[in-house]
Amino acid sequence: MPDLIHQPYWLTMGPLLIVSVTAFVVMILEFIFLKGLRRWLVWPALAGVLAALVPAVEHLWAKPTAALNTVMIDGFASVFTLLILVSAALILLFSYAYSAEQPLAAEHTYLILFGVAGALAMASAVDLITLYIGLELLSVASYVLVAVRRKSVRAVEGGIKYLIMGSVGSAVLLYGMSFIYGISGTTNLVQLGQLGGQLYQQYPAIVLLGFILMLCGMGFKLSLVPFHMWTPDAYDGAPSPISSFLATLSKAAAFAMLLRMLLFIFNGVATEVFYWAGIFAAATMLAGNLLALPQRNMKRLLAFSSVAQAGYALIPLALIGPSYTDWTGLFDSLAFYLFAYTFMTIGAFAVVSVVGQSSQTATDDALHGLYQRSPWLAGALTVFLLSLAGMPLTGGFLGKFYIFMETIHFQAVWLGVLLFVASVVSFYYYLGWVRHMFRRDADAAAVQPIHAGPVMNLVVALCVAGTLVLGVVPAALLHPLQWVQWF
Amino acid sequence: MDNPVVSVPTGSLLGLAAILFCIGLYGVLTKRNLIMVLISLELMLNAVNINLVAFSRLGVAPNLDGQVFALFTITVAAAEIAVGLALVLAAFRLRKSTEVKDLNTEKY
Repeated sequence: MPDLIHQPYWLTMGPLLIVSVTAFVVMILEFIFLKGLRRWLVWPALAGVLAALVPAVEHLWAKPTAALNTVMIDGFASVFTLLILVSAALILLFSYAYSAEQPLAAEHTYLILFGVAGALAMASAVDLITLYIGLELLSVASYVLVAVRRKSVRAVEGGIKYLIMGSVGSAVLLYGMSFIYGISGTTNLVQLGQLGGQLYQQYPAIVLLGFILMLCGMGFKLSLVPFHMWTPDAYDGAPSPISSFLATLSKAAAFAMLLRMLLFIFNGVATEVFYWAGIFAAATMLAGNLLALPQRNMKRLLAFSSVAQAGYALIPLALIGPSYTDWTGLFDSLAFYLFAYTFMTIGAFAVVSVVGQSSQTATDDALHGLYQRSPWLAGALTVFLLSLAGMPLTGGFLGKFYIFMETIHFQAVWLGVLLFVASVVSFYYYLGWVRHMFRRDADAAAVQPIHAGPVMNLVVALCVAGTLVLGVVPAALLHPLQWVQWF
Repeated sequence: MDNPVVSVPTGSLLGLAAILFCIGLYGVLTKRNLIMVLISLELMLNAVNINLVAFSRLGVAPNLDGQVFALFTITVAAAEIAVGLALVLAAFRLRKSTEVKDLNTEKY
Protein backbone atom coordinates (compact mmCIF):
# COMPACT_ATOMS: atom_id res chain seq x y z
CA MET A 1 0.00 0.00 0.00
CA PRO A 2 1.59 3.31 -1.01
CA ASP A 3 1.89 6.16 1.44
CA LEU A 4 -1.11 8.33 0.62
CA ILE A 5 -0.23 11.26 2.88
CA HIS A 6 3.32 12.09 1.90
CA GLN A 7 2.98 12.58 -1.80
CA PRO A 8 3.93 15.69 -3.80
CA TYR A 9 0.28 16.53 -4.53
CA TRP A 10 0.74 20.29 -4.56
CA LEU A 11 3.79 20.08 -6.80
CA THR A 12 2.10 17.82 -9.34
CA MET A 13 -1.50 18.99 -9.19
CA GLY A 14 -1.39 22.58 -7.89
CA PRO A 15 -3.01 24.27 -10.93
CA LEU A 16 -5.49 21.41 -11.34
CA LEU A 17 -6.64 21.68 -7.71
CA ILE A 18 -7.02 25.45 -7.89
CA VAL A 19 -9.03 25.33 -11.11
CA SER A 20 -11.30 22.54 -9.82
CA VAL A 21 -12.03 24.33 -6.55
CA THR A 22 -12.73 27.55 -8.48
CA ALA A 23 -15.14 25.66 -10.73
CA PHE A 24 -17.16 24.44 -7.73
CA VAL A 25 -17.09 27.88 -6.09
CA VAL A 26 -18.34 29.51 -9.30
CA MET A 27 -21.04 26.86 -9.61
CA ILE A 28 -22.33 27.65 -6.09
CA LEU A 29 -22.07 31.41 -6.68
CA GLU A 30 -24.19 30.94 -9.79
CA PHE A 31 -27.08 29.67 -7.64
CA ILE A 32 -26.80 32.70 -5.38
CA PHE A 33 -26.25 35.47 -7.91
CA LEU A 34 -29.15 37.39 -9.38
CA LYS A 35 -29.84 36.67 -12.98
CA GLY A 36 -28.60 39.99 -14.31
CA LEU A 37 -25.30 39.75 -12.47
CA ARG A 38 -24.31 36.29 -13.62
CA ARG A 39 -21.99 37.45 -16.34
CA TRP A 40 -19.80 38.93 -13.59
CA LEU A 41 -19.01 35.35 -12.55
CA VAL A 42 -16.28 35.43 -15.17
CA TRP A 43 -14.16 37.52 -12.79
CA PRO A 44 -13.91 34.96 -9.93
CA ALA A 45 -13.27 32.32 -12.61
CA LEU A 46 -10.52 34.44 -14.12
CA ALA A 47 -9.04 35.03 -10.67
CA GLY A 48 -8.91 31.26 -10.17
CA VAL A 49 -7.17 30.71 -13.51
CA LEU A 50 -4.64 33.45 -12.78
CA ALA A 51 -4.03 32.00 -9.30
CA ALA A 52 -3.39 28.63 -10.94
CA LEU A 53 -0.80 30.28 -13.18
CA VAL A 54 1.32 31.05 -10.10
CA PRO A 55 2.20 27.41 -9.22
CA ALA A 56 2.35 26.59 -12.94
CA VAL A 57 5.10 29.17 -13.51
CA GLU A 58 6.76 28.41 -10.19
CA HIS A 59 7.13 24.73 -11.06
CA LEU A 60 8.09 25.25 -14.69
CA TRP A 61 11.62 23.98 -14.14
CA ALA A 62 10.79 21.39 -11.49
CA LYS A 63 12.58 18.06 -11.46
CA PRO A 64 10.27 15.34 -12.87
CA THR A 65 8.28 13.97 -9.92
CA ALA A 66 5.17 11.78 -9.78
CA ALA A 67 2.44 11.52 -7.15
CA LEU A 68 1.12 7.96 -6.68
CA ASN A 69 2.53 7.09 -10.12
CA THR A 70 -0.55 8.75 -11.56
CA VAL A 71 0.00 12.48 -11.92
CA MET A 72 3.37 13.79 -12.92
CA ILE A 73 5.16 17.10 -13.10
CA ASP A 74 7.80 17.36 -15.79
CA GLY A 75 8.71 19.90 -18.43
CA PHE A 76 6.10 18.51 -20.77
CA ALA A 77 3.30 18.83 -18.21
CA SER A 78 4.42 22.30 -17.08
CA VAL A 79 4.64 23.78 -20.56
CA PHE A 80 1.23 22.45 -21.58
CA THR A 81 -0.29 23.53 -18.23
CA LEU A 82 0.98 27.03 -18.89
CA LEU A 83 -0.42 27.02 -22.43
CA ILE A 84 -3.83 25.74 -21.28
CA LEU A 85 -4.10 28.31 -18.48
CA VAL A 86 -3.10 31.22 -20.72
CA SER A 87 -5.67 30.26 -23.33
CA ALA A 88 -8.29 29.70 -20.60
CA ALA A 89 -7.71 33.24 -19.30
CA LEU A 90 -8.06 34.71 -22.80
CA ILE A 91 -11.22 32.68 -23.48
CA LEU A 92 -12.83 33.79 -20.19
CA LEU A 93 -12.16 37.44 -21.04
CA PHE A 94 -13.56 36.83 -24.52
CA SER A 95 -16.73 35.26 -23.03
CA TYR A 96 -17.22 38.26 -20.77
CA ALA A 97 -16.93 40.67 -23.68
CA TYR A 98 -19.17 38.47 -25.85
CA SER A 99 -21.90 38.24 -23.20
CA ALA A 100 -22.26 42.04 -23.21
CA GLU A 101 -23.82 41.73 -26.68
CA GLN A 102 -25.45 38.31 -26.58
CA PRO A 103 -26.48 36.63 -23.34
CA LEU A 104 -24.73 33.35 -22.59
CA ALA A 105 -26.15 30.56 -20.46
CA ALA A 106 -25.61 30.72 -16.71
CA GLU A 107 -23.72 27.41 -16.79
CA HIS A 108 -21.25 28.77 -19.30
CA THR A 109 -18.51 29.95 -16.93
CA TYR A 110 -18.16 26.95 -14.68
CA LEU A 111 -18.46 24.49 -17.57
CA ILE A 112 -15.42 26.19 -19.11
CA LEU A 113 -13.60 25.74 -15.79
CA PHE A 114 -14.49 22.04 -15.60
CA GLY A 115 -13.24 21.67 -19.16
CA VAL A 116 -9.99 23.39 -18.17
CA ALA A 117 -9.62 21.01 -15.20
CA GLY A 118 -10.01 18.06 -17.58
CA ALA A 119 -7.47 19.58 -19.95
CA LEU A 120 -4.96 20.02 -17.10
CA ALA A 121 -5.43 16.37 -16.14
CA MET A 122 -4.74 15.38 -19.74
CA ALA A 123 -1.51 17.37 -19.69
CA SER A 124 -0.12 15.91 -16.47
CA ALA A 125 -1.53 12.41 -15.93
CA VAL A 126 0.64 9.35 -16.60
CA ASP A 127 -1.99 6.64 -16.28
CA LEU A 128 -4.36 5.58 -19.04
CA ILE A 129 -7.38 5.66 -16.71
CA THR A 130 -6.63 9.17 -15.44
CA LEU A 131 -5.93 10.42 -18.95
CA TYR A 132 -9.26 9.01 -20.12
CA ILE A 133 -11.16 10.66 -17.25
CA GLY A 134 -9.48 13.99 -18.06
CA LEU A 135 -10.38 13.64 -21.72
CA GLU A 136 -14.01 12.88 -20.94
CA LEU A 137 -14.27 15.73 -18.44
CA LEU A 138 -13.14 18.10 -21.18
CA SER A 139 -15.28 16.45 -23.87
CA VAL A 140 -18.57 16.25 -21.96
CA ALA A 141 -18.17 19.87 -20.83
CA SER A 142 -17.57 20.96 -24.42
CA TYR A 143 -20.54 18.99 -25.82
CA VAL A 144 -22.77 20.92 -23.42
CA LEU A 145 -21.00 24.22 -24.11
CA VAL A 146 -21.56 23.88 -27.86
CA ALA A 147 -25.26 23.12 -27.51
CA VAL A 148 -26.06 25.29 -24.51
CA ARG A 149 -28.14 27.75 -26.54
CA ARG A 150 -30.80 25.09 -26.86
CA LYS A 151 -33.36 27.28 -28.65
CA SER A 152 -31.04 27.52 -31.64
CA VAL A 153 -31.28 24.70 -34.17
CA ARG A 154 -27.70 25.16 -35.31
CA ALA A 155 -26.31 24.98 -31.77
CA VAL A 156 -28.17 21.76 -30.96
CA GLU A 157 -27.25 20.27 -34.31
CA GLY A 158 -23.57 21.13 -33.89
CA GLY A 159 -23.67 19.72 -30.35
CA ILE A 160 -25.23 16.41 -31.44
CA LYS A 161 -22.75 15.97 -34.27
CA TYR A 162 -19.85 16.75 -31.95
CA LEU A 163 -21.18 14.38 -29.29
CA ILE A 164 -21.60 11.47 -31.69
CA MET A 165 -18.23 11.91 -33.36
CA GLY A 166 -16.49 12.59 -30.05
CA SER A 167 -17.99 9.49 -28.44
CA VAL A 168 -16.97 7.31 -31.38
CA GLY A 169 -13.49 8.76 -30.92
CA SER A 170 -13.47 7.86 -27.22
CA ALA A 171 -14.66 4.33 -27.97
CA VAL A 172 -11.95 3.80 -30.59
CA LEU A 173 -9.32 5.23 -28.24
CA LEU A 174 -10.49 2.97 -25.40
CA TYR A 175 -10.45 -0.06 -27.67
CA GLY A 176 -6.81 0.69 -28.48
CA MET A 177 -6.01 1.22 -24.79
CA SER A 178 -7.62 -2.12 -23.88
CA PHE A 179 -5.23 -3.97 -26.22
CA ILE A 180 -2.20 -2.23 -24.77
CA TYR A 181 -3.42 -3.12 -21.28
CA GLY A 182 -4.03 -6.71 -22.38
CA ILE A 183 -0.52 -7.38 -23.63
CA SER A 184 1.25 -5.55 -20.82
CA GLY A 185 -1.01 -5.95 -17.78
CA THR A 186 -0.62 -2.34 -16.69
CA THR A 187 -2.25 0.99 -17.38
CA ASN A 188 0.66 2.99 -16.00
CA LEU A 189 2.55 4.90 -18.67
CA VAL A 190 5.83 4.93 -16.75
CA GLN A 191 5.82 1.14 -16.45
CA LEU A 192 4.77 0.83 -20.09
CA GLY A 193 7.64 3.12 -21.04
CA GLN A 194 10.12 0.89 -19.25
CA LEU A 195 8.98 -2.11 -21.29
CA GLY A 196 10.27 -0.30 -24.37
CA GLY A 197 10.40 -2.41 -27.50
CA GLN A 198 9.74 -5.64 -25.63
CA LEU A 199 6.00 -5.61 -26.36
CA TYR A 200 6.59 -5.06 -30.06
CA GLN A 201 8.91 -8.04 -30.31
CA GLN A 202 6.29 -10.30 -28.77
CA TYR A 203 3.09 -8.92 -30.31
CA PRO A 204 3.94 -6.68 -33.30
CA ALA A 205 0.45 -6.80 -34.82
CA ILE A 206 -1.36 -5.93 -31.58
CA VAL A 207 1.03 -3.06 -30.82
CA LEU A 208 0.51 -1.63 -34.29
CA LEU A 209 -3.26 -2.06 -33.95
CA GLY A 210 -3.17 -0.30 -30.58
CA PHE A 211 -1.13 2.57 -32.01
CA ILE A 212 -3.46 3.12 -34.96
CA LEU A 213 -6.63 2.86 -32.83
CA MET A 214 -5.27 5.36 -30.31
CA LEU A 215 -4.12 7.75 -33.03
CA CYS A 216 -7.52 7.54 -34.78
CA GLY A 217 -9.39 7.97 -31.48
CA MET A 218 -7.46 11.12 -30.66
CA GLY A 219 -7.82 12.11 -34.32
CA PHE A 220 -11.54 12.67 -33.71
CA LYS A 221 -10.72 15.13 -30.92
CA LEU A 222 -7.96 16.83 -32.93
CA SER A 223 -10.17 16.86 -36.06
CA LEU A 224 -7.57 15.19 -38.23
CA VAL A 225 -8.81 14.73 -41.73
CA PRO A 226 -10.85 11.61 -42.13
CA PHE A 227 -12.49 12.48 -38.77
CA HIS A 228 -12.99 16.25 -39.16
CA MET A 229 -16.62 16.34 -40.30
CA TRP A 230 -18.01 17.65 -37.01
CA THR A 231 -15.62 20.60 -36.86
CA PRO A 232 -17.29 23.26 -39.03
CA ASP A 233 -20.79 22.44 -37.74
CA ALA A 234 -19.80 22.51 -34.08
CA TYR A 235 -17.72 25.69 -34.46
CA ASP A 236 -20.51 27.44 -36.33
CA GLY A 237 -23.23 26.36 -33.89
CA ALA A 238 -21.28 27.27 -30.76
CA PRO A 239 -20.96 30.82 -29.40
CA SER A 240 -17.68 32.35 -30.64
CA PRO A 241 -15.78 32.05 -27.31
CA ILE A 242 -16.60 28.34 -27.31
CA SER A 243 -15.45 27.97 -30.91
CA SER A 244 -12.11 29.40 -29.87
CA PHE A 245 -12.13 27.13 -26.81
CA LEU A 246 -12.52 24.08 -29.07
CA ALA A 247 -9.94 25.33 -31.53
CA THR A 248 -7.19 26.15 -29.05
CA LEU A 249 -7.51 24.82 -25.50
CA SER A 250 -9.18 21.54 -26.33
CA LYS A 251 -6.79 20.91 -29.21
CA ALA A 252 -3.69 21.72 -27.14
CA ALA A 253 -4.84 19.32 -24.42
CA ALA A 254 -5.54 16.60 -26.98
CA PHE A 255 -2.05 17.11 -28.43
CA ALA A 256 -0.55 16.83 -24.94
CA MET A 257 -2.42 13.60 -24.24
CA LEU A 258 -1.64 12.08 -27.63
CA LEU A 259 2.07 12.85 -27.36
CA ARG A 260 2.27 11.62 -23.78
CA MET A 261 0.54 8.32 -24.51
CA LEU A 262 2.28 7.54 -27.77
CA LEU A 263 5.74 8.53 -26.55
CA PHE A 264 5.57 6.53 -23.35
CA ILE A 265 3.99 3.42 -24.82
CA PHE A 266 5.73 3.25 -28.18
CA ASN A 267 9.13 4.84 -27.45
CA GLY A 268 10.96 1.60 -28.15
CA VAL A 269 9.43 1.12 -31.58
CA ALA A 270 9.39 4.71 -32.79
CA THR A 271 10.67 3.92 -36.27
CA GLU A 272 8.09 1.17 -36.78
CA VAL A 273 4.91 3.07 -36.00
CA PHE A 274 5.27 6.85 -35.94
CA TYR A 275 5.31 7.32 -39.71
CA TRP A 276 1.55 6.66 -39.61
CA ALA A 277 1.15 10.09 -38.02
CA GLY A 278 2.88 11.56 -41.09
CA ILE A 279 0.14 10.22 -43.34
CA PHE A 280 -2.54 11.84 -41.17
CA ALA A 281 -0.57 15.10 -41.07
CA ALA A 282 -0.26 15.21 -44.86
CA ALA A 283 -3.95 14.43 -45.45
CA THR A 284 -5.03 16.97 -42.81
CA MET A 285 -2.89 19.82 -44.15
CA LEU A 286 -4.01 19.39 -47.73
CA ALA A 287 -7.69 18.58 -47.20
CA GLY A 288 -8.15 21.25 -44.51
CA ASN A 289 -6.83 23.98 -46.77
CA LEU A 290 -8.64 22.80 -49.88
CA LEU A 291 -11.97 22.52 -48.04
CA ALA A 292 -11.52 26.06 -46.71
CA LEU A 293 -11.21 27.54 -50.21
CA PRO A 294 -14.92 27.75 -51.13
CA GLN A 295 -16.15 28.76 -47.65
CA ARG A 296 -18.06 32.02 -47.32
CA ASN A 297 -19.14 31.65 -43.67
CA MET A 298 -16.41 33.19 -41.51
CA LYS A 299 -16.55 30.75 -38.59
CA ARG A 300 -16.68 27.74 -40.89
CA LEU A 301 -13.63 29.04 -42.70
CA LEU A 302 -11.78 29.45 -39.40
CA ALA A 303 -12.87 25.90 -38.50
CA PHE A 304 -11.30 24.47 -41.66
CA SER A 305 -8.26 26.64 -41.06
CA SER A 306 -7.92 25.10 -37.58
CA VAL A 307 -8.18 21.64 -39.14
CA ALA A 308 -5.26 22.52 -41.41
CA GLN A 309 -3.26 24.00 -38.52
CA ALA A 310 -3.67 20.75 -36.57
CA GLY A 311 -2.07 19.01 -39.55
CA TYR A 312 0.99 21.29 -39.36
CA ALA A 313 1.31 20.71 -35.61
CA LEU A 314 1.11 16.93 -36.09
CA ILE A 315 4.30 16.94 -38.20
CA PRO A 316 6.71 16.90 -35.20
CA LEU A 317 4.94 13.77 -33.96
CA ALA A 318 5.53 12.05 -37.29
CA LEU A 319 9.24 12.85 -37.11
CA ILE A 320 9.86 11.09 -33.82
CA GLY A 321 12.58 8.63 -34.55
CA PRO A 322 14.90 6.27 -32.75
CA SER A 323 17.32 8.77 -31.21
CA TYR A 324 16.20 10.43 -27.99
CA THR A 325 18.75 13.22 -28.28
CA ASP A 326 16.92 15.08 -31.00
CA TRP A 327 13.51 14.95 -29.40
CA THR A 328 13.82 18.18 -27.43
CA GLY A 329 13.98 20.14 -30.67
CA LEU A 330 10.72 18.56 -31.76
CA PHE A 331 8.98 19.48 -28.52
CA ASP A 332 10.34 23.02 -28.73
CA SER A 333 8.93 23.46 -32.22
CA LEU A 334 5.56 21.91 -31.31
CA ALA A 335 5.17 23.99 -28.14
CA PHE A 336 6.18 27.17 -29.97
CA TYR A 337 3.70 26.47 -32.74
CA LEU A 338 0.87 25.78 -30.31
CA PHE A 339 1.55 29.02 -28.37
CA ALA A 340 1.54 31.07 -31.58
CA TYR A 341 -1.56 29.22 -32.82
CA THR A 342 -3.42 29.94 -29.57
CA PHE A 343 -2.87 33.69 -29.79
CA MET A 344 -3.70 34.05 -33.46
CA THR A 345 -6.78 31.82 -33.36
CA ILE A 346 -8.41 33.36 -30.29
CA GLY A 347 -7.71 36.80 -31.74
CA ALA A 348 -9.21 35.91 -35.12
CA PHE A 349 -12.36 34.49 -33.51
CA ALA A 350 -12.69 37.62 -31.33
CA VAL A 351 -12.52 40.02 -34.28
CA VAL A 352 -14.83 37.85 -36.38
CA SER A 353 -17.41 37.74 -33.59
CA VAL A 354 -17.40 41.53 -33.17
CA VAL A 355 -17.65 42.15 -36.90
CA GLY A 356 -20.30 39.46 -37.39
CA GLN A 357 -22.48 40.83 -34.61
CA SER A 358 -22.38 44.41 -35.81
CA SER A 359 -23.00 43.45 -39.45
CA GLN A 360 -25.72 40.88 -38.69
CA THR A 361 -24.24 38.40 -41.13
CA ALA A 362 -22.05 35.34 -40.78
CA THR A 363 -20.54 35.45 -44.26
CA ASP A 364 -17.39 37.30 -45.21
CA ASP A 365 -19.49 40.16 -46.62
CA ALA A 366 -19.30 41.45 -43.06
CA LEU A 367 -15.62 42.16 -43.59
CA HIS A 368 -16.32 44.41 -46.56
CA GLY A 369 -14.58 47.75 -46.03
CA LEU A 370 -13.71 46.93 -42.42
CA TYR A 371 -10.70 49.24 -42.63
CA GLN A 372 -12.99 52.23 -43.00
CA ARG A 373 -15.29 51.13 -40.21
CA SER A 374 -12.63 50.23 -37.69
CA PRO A 375 -8.95 50.54 -38.65
CA TRP A 376 -7.90 48.93 -35.35
CA LEU A 377 -9.93 45.74 -35.83
CA ALA A 378 -8.94 45.54 -39.50
CA GLY A 379 -5.27 45.87 -38.58
CA ALA A 380 -5.52 43.28 -35.81
CA LEU A 381 -7.34 40.78 -38.03
CA THR A 382 -4.71 41.34 -40.72
CA VAL A 383 -1.99 40.43 -38.21
CA PHE A 384 -3.83 37.24 -37.22
CA LEU A 385 -4.52 36.22 -40.81
CA LEU A 386 -0.94 36.84 -41.92
CA SER A 387 0.23 34.82 -38.94
CA LEU A 388 -2.16 31.96 -39.74
CA ALA A 389 -0.95 32.03 -43.34
CA GLY A 390 2.68 32.19 -42.20
CA MET A 391 4.07 35.58 -43.18
CA PRO A 392 7.37 36.70 -41.62
CA LEU A 393 7.41 38.86 -38.48
CA THR A 394 4.52 36.87 -36.99
CA GLY A 395 4.50 33.91 -34.60
CA GLY A 396 2.83 31.68 -37.18
CA PHE A 397 5.71 32.13 -39.60
CA LEU A 398 8.38 31.13 -37.09
CA GLY A 399 6.31 28.21 -35.85
CA LYS A 400 6.02 26.87 -39.38
CA PHE A 401 9.65 27.67 -40.08
CA TYR A 402 10.86 25.63 -37.10
CA ILE A 403 8.66 22.69 -38.08
CA PHE A 404 9.97 22.97 -41.65
CA MET A 405 13.57 22.94 -40.41
CA GLU A 406 12.82 19.86 -38.32
CA THR A 407 11.50 18.02 -41.38
CA ILE A 408 14.79 18.71 -43.16
CA HIS A 409 16.79 17.75 -40.11
CA PHE A 410 14.95 14.43 -39.82
CA GLN A 411 15.09 13.78 -43.57
CA ALA A 412 11.35 13.81 -44.06
CA VAL A 413 11.50 16.46 -46.75
CA TRP A 414 8.26 15.35 -48.37
CA LEU A 415 6.38 16.54 -45.27
CA GLY A 416 8.21 19.86 -45.42
CA VAL A 417 7.32 20.30 -49.07
CA LEU A 418 3.67 19.48 -48.36
CA LEU A 419 3.70 22.00 -45.49
CA PHE A 420 4.94 24.60 -47.93
CA VAL A 421 2.41 23.71 -50.64
CA ALA A 422 -0.48 23.69 -48.15
CA SER A 423 0.58 27.12 -46.85
CA VAL A 424 0.60 28.51 -50.38
CA VAL A 425 -2.96 27.24 -50.87
CA SER A 426 -4.00 28.85 -47.59
CA PHE A 427 -2.75 32.27 -48.75
CA TYR A 428 -5.63 32.37 -51.20
CA TYR A 429 -8.38 32.46 -48.59
CA TYR A 430 -6.55 34.34 -45.84
CA LEU A 431 -5.50 37.11 -48.21
CA GLY A 432 -9.00 37.07 -49.73
CA TRP A 433 -10.26 38.32 -46.38
CA VAL A 434 -7.53 40.94 -46.21
CA ARG A 435 -8.52 42.15 -49.68
CA HIS A 436 -12.17 42.39 -48.54
CA MET A 437 -11.22 44.44 -45.49
CA PHE A 438 -9.19 47.03 -47.33
CA ARG A 439 -11.65 47.50 -50.17
CA ARG A 440 -12.92 51.06 -50.22
CA ASP A 441 -16.62 51.83 -50.29
CA ALA A 442 -17.57 54.51 -52.79
CA ASP A 443 -20.16 56.00 -50.48
CA ALA A 444 -18.09 57.07 -47.49
CA ALA A 445 -21.06 58.65 -45.72
CA ALA A 446 -22.87 55.31 -45.41
CA VAL A 447 -20.00 53.77 -43.49
CA GLN A 448 -21.02 52.70 -39.99
CA PRO A 449 -18.10 52.59 -37.58
CA ILE A 450 -17.71 49.50 -35.34
CA HIS A 451 -16.81 49.93 -31.70
CA ALA A 452 -15.74 46.91 -29.68
CA GLY A 453 -16.06 47.06 -25.89
CA PRO A 454 -12.96 47.69 -23.74
CA VAL A 455 -12.64 44.03 -22.67
CA MET A 456 -12.90 42.82 -26.26
CA ASN A 457 -10.23 45.34 -27.25
CA LEU A 458 -8.07 44.00 -24.42
CA VAL A 459 -8.45 40.41 -25.71
CA VAL A 460 -7.58 41.46 -29.25
CA ALA A 461 -4.64 43.56 -28.04
CA LEU A 462 -3.24 40.70 -25.94
CA CYS A 463 -3.51 38.33 -28.90
CA VAL A 464 -1.86 40.85 -31.26
CA ALA A 465 0.92 41.33 -28.71
CA GLY A 466 1.39 37.57 -28.34
CA THR A 467 1.48 37.00 -32.09
CA LEU A 468 3.92 39.82 -32.75
CA VAL A 469 6.22 39.14 -29.78
CA LEU A 470 6.57 35.51 -30.80
CA GLY A 471 7.27 36.65 -34.36
CA VAL A 472 9.79 39.38 -33.62
CA VAL A 473 11.59 38.04 -30.53
CA PRO A 474 11.01 34.28 -30.61
CA ALA A 475 13.78 33.88 -28.01
CA ALA A 476 11.29 35.20 -25.44
CA LEU A 477 9.67 31.76 -25.56
CA LEU A 478 12.37 29.57 -27.09
CA HIS A 479 14.96 30.47 -24.48
CA PRO A 480 12.87 29.32 -21.49
CA LEU A 481 11.85 26.22 -23.45
CA GLN A 482 15.48 25.21 -23.83
CA TRP A 483 15.87 25.01 -20.06
CA VAL A 484 12.86 22.78 -19.65
CA GLN A 485 13.62 19.19 -18.76
CA TRP A 486 11.01 17.50 -20.92
CA PHE A 487 10.85 14.07 -19.30
CA MET B 1 -9.65 -17.59 -9.16
CA ASP B 2 -7.08 -20.28 -9.78
CA ASN B 3 -9.65 -22.87 -10.67
CA PRO B 4 -12.22 -21.43 -13.02
CA VAL B 5 -15.36 -23.49 -13.27
CA VAL B 6 -15.94 -22.64 -16.89
CA SER B 7 -12.89 -21.88 -18.97
CA VAL B 8 -13.45 -19.68 -21.99
CA PRO B 9 -10.58 -19.20 -24.42
CA THR B 10 -9.33 -15.61 -24.62
CA GLY B 11 -9.68 -15.58 -28.39
CA SER B 12 -13.43 -16.08 -28.37
CA LEU B 13 -13.94 -13.29 -25.83
CA LEU B 14 -11.84 -10.91 -27.90
CA GLY B 15 -13.71 -12.04 -30.99
CA LEU B 16 -17.04 -11.29 -29.31
CA ALA B 17 -15.78 -7.83 -28.36
CA ALA B 18 -14.50 -7.19 -31.89
CA ILE B 19 -17.82 -8.23 -33.44
CA LEU B 20 -19.80 -6.06 -31.01
CA PHE B 21 -17.47 -3.13 -31.69
CA CYS B 22 -17.93 -3.47 -35.43
CA ILE B 23 -21.72 -3.77 -35.12
CA GLY B 24 -21.69 -0.61 -33.01
CA LEU B 25 -19.53 1.27 -35.49
CA TYR B 26 -21.73 0.13 -38.37
CA GLY B 27 -24.80 1.28 -36.44
CA VAL B 28 -23.36 4.73 -35.72
CA LEU B 29 -22.51 5.22 -39.38
CA THR B 30 -25.73 3.93 -40.92
CA LYS B 31 -28.66 4.25 -38.48
CA ARG B 32 -31.10 6.99 -39.33
CA ASN B 33 -32.59 7.49 -35.87
CA LEU B 34 -30.62 9.38 -33.24
CA ILE B 35 -31.69 7.05 -30.43
CA MET B 36 -30.37 4.09 -32.42
CA VAL B 37 -27.11 5.96 -33.00
CA LEU B 38 -26.73 6.48 -29.24
CA ILE B 39 -27.48 2.79 -28.60
CA SER B 40 -24.82 1.83 -31.16
CA LEU B 41 -22.35 4.08 -29.33
CA GLU B 42 -23.18 2.27 -26.11
CA LEU B 43 -22.52 -1.03 -27.91
CA MET B 44 -19.01 0.13 -28.89
CA LEU B 45 -18.22 1.17 -25.33
CA ASN B 46 -19.50 -2.13 -23.96
CA ALA B 47 -17.35 -4.05 -26.42
CA VAL B 48 -14.38 -2.23 -24.87
CA ASN B 49 -15.58 -3.27 -21.41
CA ILE B 50 -15.70 -6.93 -22.45
CA ASN B 51 -12.16 -6.57 -23.76
CA LEU B 52 -10.93 -4.98 -20.54
CA VAL B 53 -12.56 -7.53 -18.25
CA ALA B 54 -11.37 -10.43 -20.42
CA PHE B 55 -7.81 -9.11 -20.28
CA SER B 56 -7.99 -8.51 -16.55
CA ARG B 57 -8.69 -12.23 -16.08
CA LEU B 58 -6.97 -13.90 -19.02
CA GLY B 59 -4.42 -11.33 -20.20
CA VAL B 60 -0.65 -11.63 -20.21
CA ALA B 61 -0.42 -10.35 -16.63
CA PRO B 62 -3.87 -10.73 -15.04
CA ASN B 63 -4.71 -8.05 -12.46
CA LEU B 64 -7.64 -5.90 -11.35
CA ASP B 65 -6.67 -2.74 -13.24
CA GLY B 66 -8.79 -3.77 -16.19
CA GLN B 67 -11.92 -4.18 -14.10
CA VAL B 68 -11.36 -0.82 -12.43
CA PHE B 69 -10.92 0.70 -15.88
CA ALA B 70 -14.20 -0.91 -16.99
CA LEU B 71 -16.00 0.59 -13.97
CA PHE B 72 -14.73 4.06 -14.89
CA THR B 73 -15.74 3.53 -18.52
CA ILE B 74 -19.28 2.54 -17.52
CA THR B 75 -19.65 5.64 -15.35
CA VAL B 76 -18.33 8.03 -17.96
CA ALA B 77 -20.41 6.41 -20.71
CA ALA B 78 -23.52 6.98 -18.58
CA ALA B 79 -22.66 10.69 -18.31
CA GLU B 80 -22.04 10.91 -22.02
CA ILE B 81 -25.30 9.23 -22.94
CA ALA B 82 -27.19 11.46 -20.49
CA VAL B 83 -25.89 14.52 -22.33
CA GLY B 84 -26.66 12.80 -25.63
CA LEU B 85 -30.29 12.12 -24.69
CA ALA B 86 -30.69 15.69 -23.46
CA LEU B 87 -29.45 16.94 -26.83
CA VAL B 88 -31.77 14.57 -28.70
CA LEU B 89 -34.66 15.93 -26.61
CA ALA B 90 -33.64 19.50 -27.43
CA ALA B 91 -33.46 18.60 -31.12
CA PHE B 92 -36.87 16.93 -30.92
CA ARG B 93 -38.42 20.06 -29.40
CA LEU B 94 -37.04 22.18 -32.22
CA ARG B 95 -37.64 19.90 -35.20
CA LYS B 96 -40.34 17.46 -33.98
CA SER B 97 -38.20 14.60 -35.20
CA THR B 98 -35.30 12.43 -34.05
CA GLU B 99 -34.19 11.45 -37.55
CA VAL B 100 -30.61 12.18 -38.53
CA LYS B 101 -31.72 13.55 -41.90
CA ASP B 102 -33.57 16.41 -40.20
CA LEU B 103 -30.33 17.75 -38.73
CA ASN B 104 -29.44 19.39 -41.99
CA THR B 105 -29.43 23.13 -41.42
CA GLU B 106 -25.64 23.12 -41.53
CA LYS B 107 -24.49 22.11 -44.95
CA TYR B 108 -21.11 22.13 -46.48
